[in-house]
Amino acid sequence: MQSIFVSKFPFSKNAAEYLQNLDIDIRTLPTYFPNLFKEAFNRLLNLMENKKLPEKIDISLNSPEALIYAIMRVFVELINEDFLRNWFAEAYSKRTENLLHSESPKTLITLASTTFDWKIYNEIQIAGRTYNWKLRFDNFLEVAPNLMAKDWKLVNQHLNKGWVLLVREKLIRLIAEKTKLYILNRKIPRDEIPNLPESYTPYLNALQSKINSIKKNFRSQRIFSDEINKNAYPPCIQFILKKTEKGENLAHPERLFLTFFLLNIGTSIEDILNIFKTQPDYNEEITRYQVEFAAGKRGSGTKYTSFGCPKLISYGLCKKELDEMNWCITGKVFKKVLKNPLQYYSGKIFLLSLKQENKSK
Amino acid sequence: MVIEKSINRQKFLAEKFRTFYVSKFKKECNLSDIEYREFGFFYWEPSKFVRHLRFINIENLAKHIISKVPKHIYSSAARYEVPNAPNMKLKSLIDCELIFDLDVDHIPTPCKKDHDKWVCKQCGTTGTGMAPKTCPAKKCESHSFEEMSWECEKCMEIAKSEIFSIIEEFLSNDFGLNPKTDLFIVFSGRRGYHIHIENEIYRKLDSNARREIVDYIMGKGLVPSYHGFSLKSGNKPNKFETGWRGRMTRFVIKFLKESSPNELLKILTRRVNIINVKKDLVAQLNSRNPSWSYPNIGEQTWVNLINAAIEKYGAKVDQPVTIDLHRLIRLPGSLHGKTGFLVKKMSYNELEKFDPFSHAQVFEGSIRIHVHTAPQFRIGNENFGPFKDQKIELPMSAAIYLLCKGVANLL
Repeated sequence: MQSIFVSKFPFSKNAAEYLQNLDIDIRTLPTYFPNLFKEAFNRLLNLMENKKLPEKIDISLNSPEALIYAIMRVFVELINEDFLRNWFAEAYSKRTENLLHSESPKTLITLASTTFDWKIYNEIQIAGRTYNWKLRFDNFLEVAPNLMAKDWKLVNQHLNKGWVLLVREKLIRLIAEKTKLYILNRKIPRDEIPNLPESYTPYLNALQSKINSIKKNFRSQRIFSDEINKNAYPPCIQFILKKTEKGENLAHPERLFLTFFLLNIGTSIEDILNIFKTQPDYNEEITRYQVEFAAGKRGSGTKYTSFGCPKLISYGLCKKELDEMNWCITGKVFKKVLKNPLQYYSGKIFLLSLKQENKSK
Repeated sequence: MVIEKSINRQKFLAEKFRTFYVSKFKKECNLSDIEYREFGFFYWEPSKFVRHLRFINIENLAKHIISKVPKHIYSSAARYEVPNAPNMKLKSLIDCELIFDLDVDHIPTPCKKDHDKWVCKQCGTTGTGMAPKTCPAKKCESHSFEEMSWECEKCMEIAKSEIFSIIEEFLSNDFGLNPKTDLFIVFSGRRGYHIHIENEIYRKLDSNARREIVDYIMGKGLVPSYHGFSLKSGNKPNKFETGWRGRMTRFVIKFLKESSPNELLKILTRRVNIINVKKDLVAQLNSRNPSWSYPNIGEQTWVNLINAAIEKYGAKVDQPVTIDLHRLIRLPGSLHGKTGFLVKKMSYNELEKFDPFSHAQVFEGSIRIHVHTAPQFRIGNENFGPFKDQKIELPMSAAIYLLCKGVANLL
């Protein structure tokens, strides 16, 4: 018998304890729980199709949610593909966020303190302003920088004696983001997964083939057909592109920066849309509107230039330590002060073209 | 001849540094976890920087320092599993102290125009005070300057009060740190101080979290509306509140009080009488429930005023030092090769009485040197200079200071 809490939050420590008490051998799962096994498989297939989990959650006494989650985790580990892992974590994070809006303060506290070891208090009052919550600043910083938005910067919070004062909605957003990181960081070491019976094989093969077709489709649509362009990207852009390849959810400024940059170097709207297809929350209609807006084809018609280096630094998007040219570290491209990643790109294009010319001679 | 003099000077300084390191280094160093730290040295001759070094204890470290006598000595704020590995990935980071580096070089102190000079490396244009961002000479636009700065008592007092403000206003009030137990301070040996936070929670913070903390104390990225400021807000900030809500208000009051009418006119509209506005706004913002409203001052003007105040009074720390987990920082107990001053570690309680011109002086005796040029300066209780092409007997610490700065030679 499990609690409603475990069904709703099957990634939690409470759920892990519950499963441990059941003492189930994962090798026997297809035999003893064939339906759950199929459900976990179908959920993953579904995640790859529309990146969503079923909306309805079974919270009955014999709810299978915790077991389904555990089987999905085993599949994700065995497949070991970054973008599946990201979509899986993102889906449970979204579900958690939706659920928490109607949960009691006690549930929020239990999840945050038991599973994430967060220090958190409810119903506090400071200097005449009522905040619902306070959270230790270091717990806040485990998550908030990933959200990359001005209202999530520490400087825009009310901080007092090491506590960040929060309203409920913001706390729920933080817990949801932490859920994602928690799931991503809790990898099962490969040596802890025993040799699995053959009954696993058809499921794993089916998942793998689905993944291969997604990857193939994704790669064929990438803009990297031109080797010079690919190698000319500044490290900040390369870093974000790698995240998209892994299906990692990009923060809003990352999406904007990538779009503005690619539009400025002449990438087509279709090619940019293809890049965003791996995003866990991809919606073609919305993304198309946004990219077309940035390209000046909608709204006021304003075309946006790429973010400059100071702005990238302030968002934590500057990746100068990854620059093999050393241009970002010295802040100069051919003796000119580097102010914008577009300068880096043109400088590198120039260098690579020269190299190619010399080769062809 | 010039080269020979320079070599003699270096040899002399290295020998004096060695004497200090032999007798006092182990007592002054006081660095924890030596075996987990990376060390870096800048040598006198040949002039080169070597890092990725490891020492298993203070004895080994002292032995190396005494035999090589480096000009500058650095250690990592981080602890590593393999501190001597050649790259950061292989070093395997354990954790890293949180550091704030405050240098007078980044603070526009009023006395700088009296003691600091700059020369444009491209066109040779000269000026006094802080070097500009871009050379003011027509068609030059260079960003590169040779700077000649002096350690000045007024500047160092300003640096000290900035350090107190960071510790008390931010680290204690906002972050809840206990200044007496959670941190220590290091005089850099030249023009600034470092705050080291050793508290376990801070040591574990990643680079992104450190960026957020340093942005917080600098006020960087602050949006007034997230702190309750907008003309329509029913809960506007007041100066008695904690965090940036109260600080933002106090900064604006200070800015209004300290800024000249011309400075204020750049922000406030010309349709207002600046003297009256200044008085009225200060009175209003000093109240418990300021309305943050005034005829002819719109929301954007208020925001500009808040931003100008934060720009002026926010902490002026060197941001990359705080963010970079692999940064090397001056080793406490070493000597600064550009001044001969001791890099001195101290507790929060000792900071108030610390005088770099007395407590960071380590040399004894006296020597006769040839001083080319130097402004007036103090070492201990005695003032020296100004000098212009003079041969003079000076106490050893004063002479070494001038020799390190390259404005004097041995006779």
